[in-house]
Amino acid sequence: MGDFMSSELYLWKKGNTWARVEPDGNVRVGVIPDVIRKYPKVAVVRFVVSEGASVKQGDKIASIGVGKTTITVEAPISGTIININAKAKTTPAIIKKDPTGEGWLIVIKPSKLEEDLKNLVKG
Amino acid sequence: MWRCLGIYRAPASHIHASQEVITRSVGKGLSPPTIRIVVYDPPAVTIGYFQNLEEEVNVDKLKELGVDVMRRPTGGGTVLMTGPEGPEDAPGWEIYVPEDWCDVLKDIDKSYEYLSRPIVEFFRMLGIEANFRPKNDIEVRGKKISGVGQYRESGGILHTGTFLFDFDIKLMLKVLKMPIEKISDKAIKSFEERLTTVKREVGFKPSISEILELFKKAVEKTFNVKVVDGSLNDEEIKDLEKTLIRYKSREWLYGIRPSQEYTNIYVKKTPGGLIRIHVKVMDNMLESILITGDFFIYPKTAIYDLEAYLKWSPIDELENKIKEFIKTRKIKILGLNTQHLVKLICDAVKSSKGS
Repeated sequence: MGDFMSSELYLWKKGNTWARVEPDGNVRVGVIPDVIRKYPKVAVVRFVVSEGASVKQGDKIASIGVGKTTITVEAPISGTIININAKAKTTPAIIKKDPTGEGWLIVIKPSKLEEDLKNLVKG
Repeated sequence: MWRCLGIYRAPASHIHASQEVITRSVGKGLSPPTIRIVVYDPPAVTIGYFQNLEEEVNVDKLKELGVDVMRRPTGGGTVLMTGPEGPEDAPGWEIYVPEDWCDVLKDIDKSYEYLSRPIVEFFRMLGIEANFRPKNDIEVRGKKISGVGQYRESGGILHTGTFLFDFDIKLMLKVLKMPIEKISDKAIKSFEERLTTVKREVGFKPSISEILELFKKAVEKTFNVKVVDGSLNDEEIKDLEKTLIRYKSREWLYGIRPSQEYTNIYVKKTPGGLIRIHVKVMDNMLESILITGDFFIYPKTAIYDLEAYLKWSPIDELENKIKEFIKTRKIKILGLNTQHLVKLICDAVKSSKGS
C-alpha cells in the first residue's frame, strides 16, 4: 500500500471529490468540503453507479441537486464500487453537514491506486 | 475569445446530450467559453434531472400531440419548449464558462445573478425592463419571462434558460401535470398572471437569427468579450456520439430511481379570504408553490416573488425563509399575519406528504 496515510485526503478537484485510503486498502470517497460548502443545503443526490460496478478515474458517480443546479461528482480513482452510502441517499443533507465523515459517498476497491493518486493533490 | 455555436435546431436528446459534452469540454479547457441558441425540433417538453417523468407529464397526450419529451441534465422543473407558432417561440439560450472564469462563480447564488446579466441585457435591448429575481428567474414587473438553471461538471458550468417570445398556456396545461384542481379559465388566468412574453411586452417577435445576433451582442457588452462563430471540435463530436446513447435510452428518460413526489392543493378559509396553496414536493424539497385565492396582498406582485423565492427550497428551511421574505419586503395580507401565513404554507407541505 506504500506510505499512504489513512487519515489523509487526496483531492480530485475537477471531479469535486476526495479520496481516503483506508487501512484495509479500499478507498472511501466523498465531496470536497470546500466545494459543497459554497452551496445552500443539499436537497437530493442520485447515484449513477451501483455496487459491483467498475469505474475509471473521472467517471461520473453521482449528481447532487441543489435547487435548480445539478453538480456532478466523479470517481477520483479507478476500481470496483463495493459500498454506496445509504444514509447519503436518504438524508442528503449529511453530505454538506459532514462531508468527510458520515457524508461519504462510495467505497472503491482500487485497481491501480498508485498510478491514479499521481493525478490527485493532497488535501 | 468566446465561441458561438449558432442556432442548434435538433431533437431534445441531441440538445441535452450536447449540453453535457460542451460543459465537460469547456470545464477541461478543451474549448473556450461558449454560447448557443437551441430550437427543439420536434417541439418538446423537458423535465429536470431529478424529476419523475410520469408525475410531471401526460405521456400519452404528448404522443398524441407529437410533442417530444426529454430529461435535462440540469435540475429544476418541467418546461414547454414551444409556443403557438412552434418551437421558435420558446428557444433555449446557453452560456458555458469554466468555474474558475471569475471568482463570483464559486458562490452559486451569485453565479446565477452574474451569468444572467447578458439575458437581462438582451431583454433591455428589446425595450423590455427586465430584472433578475432571486433565486433564478428573470422577470418583468413581477412576471417571469425567463427561467434559469445550471449544470456543473468537470470544472465547467452550463448556465441556461428559455426566451419566452410567445406561450401556449392551454397546451402547457394539457401536457403537464400541474398542481391545479382542473383546467379552467381561472387556472389559465392564474398562470397568465405569473408569466409574460416578448410578444406581450413589445408587440412583436424577432426572428431566430435576430435573436442570435442580439444574444451575441448582449454577451459581448455585458462581459466585455469578443464572441466569434465556431463549431464543435473533434473531441466534442466523439463525446457526443457516446453521450447520445444514454440520452436516447429509456432508463435515462424514465429514471433509475424516481423521486418521491407529492402534489397537493390545500384550501383554507381565513379571515383574509379563501386561500388555495398548491404545492409540489420532491424528496425534501418544495419544488413549486402557487398561492391563489380571494385575499388582498400589498404589493400585489409580492405573492409571485414569494413563490419564486420559495421554489426549490429545502422543506425544513421554509418557515425561516417565509418570515425573512415578509419582513424584508414589508408585505401586508389583509386579515392574515406572518405567523398565520407561515403555518398555512407549512401545513400545505405537510399535508402533501401525507397524501
